[in-house]
Amino acid sequence: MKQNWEKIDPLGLVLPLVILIVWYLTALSGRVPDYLFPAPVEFFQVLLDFIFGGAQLTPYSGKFLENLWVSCIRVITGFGLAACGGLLLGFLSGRNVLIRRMIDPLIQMIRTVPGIGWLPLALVWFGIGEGTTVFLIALAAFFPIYLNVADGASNVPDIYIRAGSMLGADKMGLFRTVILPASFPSIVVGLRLGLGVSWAYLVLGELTGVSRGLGAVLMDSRMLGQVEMIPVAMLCIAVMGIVSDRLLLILCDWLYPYHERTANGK
Amino acid sequence: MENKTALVIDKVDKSFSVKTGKKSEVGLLQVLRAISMSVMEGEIIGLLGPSGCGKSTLLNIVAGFEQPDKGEVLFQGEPVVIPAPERSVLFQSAVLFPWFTVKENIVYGLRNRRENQGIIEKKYCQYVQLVGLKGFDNYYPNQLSGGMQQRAALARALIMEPRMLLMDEPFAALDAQTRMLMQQLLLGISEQIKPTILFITHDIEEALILSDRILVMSKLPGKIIYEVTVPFSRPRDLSMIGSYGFAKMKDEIRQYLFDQLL
Repeated sequence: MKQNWEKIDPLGLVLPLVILIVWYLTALSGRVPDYLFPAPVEFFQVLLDFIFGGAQLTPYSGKFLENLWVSCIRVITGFGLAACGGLLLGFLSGRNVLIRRMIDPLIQMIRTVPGIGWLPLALVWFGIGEGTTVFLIALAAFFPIYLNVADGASNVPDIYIRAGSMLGADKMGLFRTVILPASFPSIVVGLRLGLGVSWAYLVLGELTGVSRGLGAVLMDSRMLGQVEMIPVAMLCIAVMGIVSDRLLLILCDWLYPYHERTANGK
Repeated sequence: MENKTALVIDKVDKSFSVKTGKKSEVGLLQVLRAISMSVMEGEIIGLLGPSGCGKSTLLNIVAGFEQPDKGEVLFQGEPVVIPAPERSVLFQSAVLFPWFTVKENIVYGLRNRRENQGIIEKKYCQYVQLVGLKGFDNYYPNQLSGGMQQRAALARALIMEPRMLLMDEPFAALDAQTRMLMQQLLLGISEQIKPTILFITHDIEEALILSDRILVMSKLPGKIIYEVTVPFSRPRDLSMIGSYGFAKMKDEIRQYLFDQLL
């Protein structure tokens, strides 16, 4: 069976290609000045220089890996915290009515405050940089994970629980062999949404004035007048979002090779 | 066969709270009223009744999934409180775990019991043969037909060597031919392992083919209104369906059942 992450649909490449051509022709016509948006050739030169270095086209020549590394650590830390909290509270709230009645209203209330609204308080608590970024990521990624895990766990068909307990499974056994596999598709959805949000909040956190990270490159390029670096950094973030999503899917497939079978018996 | 009682159901009442038409009014719907019956060791009991008469509720209580409001259920002299492998259930649909293979499903209960691998393999071979599912070890349930799924579910229940098998219209969801095959399979198995079975059906023929004794339930609130011993000798096979005695009994039971439908 072909896995989700292996599929590349050629039709999906058509639109990017069209954009590239239009972009190239626009730049060729000279209607858009360079300081507003770089031409494709320049863009790719800067991109390659950013990744491999050597040409010294911008102050960021060859600095891709170190910025990427810093950003990845932040995402992994923040997302990891969110995943732990989201899975734990999600399962508790999804399977135990008393716990759900206690924690769910509060979580739903906090959820309505947009993540951006936490920025001032986070800056006060954690200062500019690392702490704030990780906090924002963890907070924002927590909600989709919690919601989907709780939903998946509470929607495990009762008849499976009955079948399991009739066949002698204890509470831990039921969790391991019935509740976890039955809710796994929802868990994957929650984790993917959470990881996507993580990249968004990484950029927000890094915009507040850290020295390294893809978000910092994005913001500082404007101040340094390196406009051509801005779309390059944006593209890097977009690609990293996709790559990390695929890696997450591979990890999930590896953990639970049969999780795709769970949904609607497909 | 010794005449030991396996199961006693003693004056069981059960009601459910239901939302009635208007907003938050909650009514009490009595589903079972003073149900009493007993099942002997090795006996096969067919429970017939109009749909929605509480048959399934009664079975769920015997299984330990639900508790009676009044009265009690004694299994081997002990009150039934929780579900246990000694009272295996065969549901209307197979309810195999879709994330496990056929083999993983069938040995699921043995694994819960922490049996050693040798015993698991041995019993698996024995029961997979019994239900005729050899060679499908690594298939997933959704790759099997409905009848094969139900056979896997039967093996999953029987492998625990339950002292009683509870079946909730186990063949109702199958097509007519598959249902006949399953009935024949069950007749064959019951000759080999002589299980105690309480099963629900709405099919009079099925009840006559499989049971030693048939109980007919009334419409709500369910109570037992008719009981008949099936005289046909064992081993049985499906050819009995054509006999005069069979037709006569079928007609008699239909009378009782039909009265409840109106």
